[in-house]
Amino acid sequence: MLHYLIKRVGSSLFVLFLLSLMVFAMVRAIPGDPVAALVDQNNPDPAVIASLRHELGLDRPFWIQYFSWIGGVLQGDFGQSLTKPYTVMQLVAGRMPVSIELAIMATVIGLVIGIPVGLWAARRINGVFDTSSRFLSFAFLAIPPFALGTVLLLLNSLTVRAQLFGYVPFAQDPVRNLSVFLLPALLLGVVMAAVIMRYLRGTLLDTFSQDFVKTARAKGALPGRIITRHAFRNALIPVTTVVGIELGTLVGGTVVVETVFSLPGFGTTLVDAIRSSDYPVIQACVLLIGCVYVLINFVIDLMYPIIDPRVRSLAS
Amino acid sequence: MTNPNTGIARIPRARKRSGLRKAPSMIAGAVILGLLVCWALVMLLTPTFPMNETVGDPLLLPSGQHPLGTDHVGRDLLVRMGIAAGLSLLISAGTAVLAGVVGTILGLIAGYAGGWVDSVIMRIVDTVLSIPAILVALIVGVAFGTGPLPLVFALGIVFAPSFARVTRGPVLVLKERDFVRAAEMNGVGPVRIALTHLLPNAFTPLAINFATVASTVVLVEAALSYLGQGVPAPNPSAGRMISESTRFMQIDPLLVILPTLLIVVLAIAWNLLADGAQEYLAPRVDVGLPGSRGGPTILRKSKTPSPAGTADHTDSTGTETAHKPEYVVSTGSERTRR
Repeated sequence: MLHYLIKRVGSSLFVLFLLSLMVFAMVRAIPGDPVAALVDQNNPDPAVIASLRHELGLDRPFWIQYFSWIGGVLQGDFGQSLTKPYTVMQLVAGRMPVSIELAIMATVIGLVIGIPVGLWAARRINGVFDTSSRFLSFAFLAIPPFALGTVLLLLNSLTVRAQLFGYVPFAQDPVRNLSVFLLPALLLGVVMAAVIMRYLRGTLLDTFSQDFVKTARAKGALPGRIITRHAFRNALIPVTTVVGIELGTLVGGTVVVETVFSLPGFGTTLVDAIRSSDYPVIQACVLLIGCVYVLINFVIDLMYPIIDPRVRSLAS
Repeated sequence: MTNPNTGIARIPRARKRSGLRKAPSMIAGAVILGLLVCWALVMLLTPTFPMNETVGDPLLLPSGQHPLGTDHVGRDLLVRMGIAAGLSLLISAGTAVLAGVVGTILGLIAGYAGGWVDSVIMRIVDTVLSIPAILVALIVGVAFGTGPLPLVFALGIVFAPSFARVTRGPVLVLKERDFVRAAEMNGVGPVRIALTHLLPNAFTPLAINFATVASTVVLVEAALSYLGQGVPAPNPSAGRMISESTRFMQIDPLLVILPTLLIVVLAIAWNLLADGAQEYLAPRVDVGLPGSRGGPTILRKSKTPSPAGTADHTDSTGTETAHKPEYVVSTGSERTRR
């Protein structure tokens, strides 16, 4: 078990190192000199530009810039934004809670809807519920969330006229906070529910064809009991993997939904930074997203031995 | 498989034809995509109106002259939507092809070579997977300019890892098989083994992944266009049409609904193709819980022999009936067959 753990930690760290390198190089490939944006556009004095570049450390060789950045990151210092008078940490720390709350709410909604629907669809396979939920999941996976969000906002403005904008932190006004997050979380959550439902149904059907299920049924166990006590745990591993992947994707993929609903989140910060070539912010944000993804996958990998005893014995 | 009444083995006949009948979704998806391609080509080659010029009053509802109406600048929507459909199709197919080629090669190398080569390639794959597609495309778009070609390039790199993973799995299993060993012993080179022995046998998940990736790219490209990257103005793109028309939604909701429908239809078409490809290439009989409706029944006296019912099912339950003449294990789908 310890060996498994060490291997997983080692490969996660290697992935993070590769990621930081990739991010650093990618960002440097963006044209558009951030320094040029900081000086007087009409009379760009070369001497001023040169001294600014030197001050910001942008004239040093690639590797020296990389290692000094990484050194800072490991100490928690992500540098200064090139276009705004804040440190990167200040910019990001204020926005992260919004995206995290959105991602968590979407995942909770996805699990709450997806798992029961998947269980019932597998229970009564090819029935009305199964066919209609498969059709719905198909449809929801094809509709772009931002388009659906726009249409729902239109409907809201024509009918209910609920107050859906104006973010407030949860601690300040929980009700208002939840009402603002409800629609975007619902949109993202329904997509996640569709994915979870399809995977759960598929893996449950695979477990139904196994001998232990036949045995349980022959012994007279009720179908519901078989599903919840026997089949579900076996179907859980691929579903857990998918949930982990979707959650990781969600953290980075909230960009568009945040734009539609004007939420002051991580995604909008990143898009602004990309557009203004704000290197430190882009690097920090993409690295953070990558770290979250790697962390989630690492936690999921750790959960495998807990869910499935066969993996436990393989791992030790 | 054995006919339960006569005990005579039936040779499965014309499996390919019955297979296609079992995959209506593949045909449906292909038909929809074909129609969209025709629409795009007609609009490209013989447009009723130029696609980027004002040809009438803005915000017109559908009429005889403009079958889908006009947008907020006065451009004909039928032409613009057709070209947008074609562009989306091109980008999604192109990305899937590029990602497929790059990813499959990486997966073949990783799976067949094994060892440290496998580890390094898979770690690189994990790294690329950890960056969301939209962000990579945004960064590359700003770096190399907007337009279909940089977009295909960026998204192709982003989605290559999924093909690598999908190829590596079967290859890891296949390379231990006897026919591969035999080829190796005969001195066949690794490239030839990979291309002629391993790749064709790993084809099924690749084909399914191709269509799945294409449908994902449709949505990613729409999101990028919505954010302003992607296909540049004034060329038509569904995502950008939605973002531009949001403020006119109350006057003419069609401006938002039509591009949305276009994206949905395109994504559904690729999904249907993926599902159909899976049904056709790797058909599975979805058997539910034993004893419940739709599941196999254990130890039940067979009421209606229904050879027609067992005709399509080449599953093992057919052979079991030959051994137990009195009590029959029948698949539940026989009972529920209308």
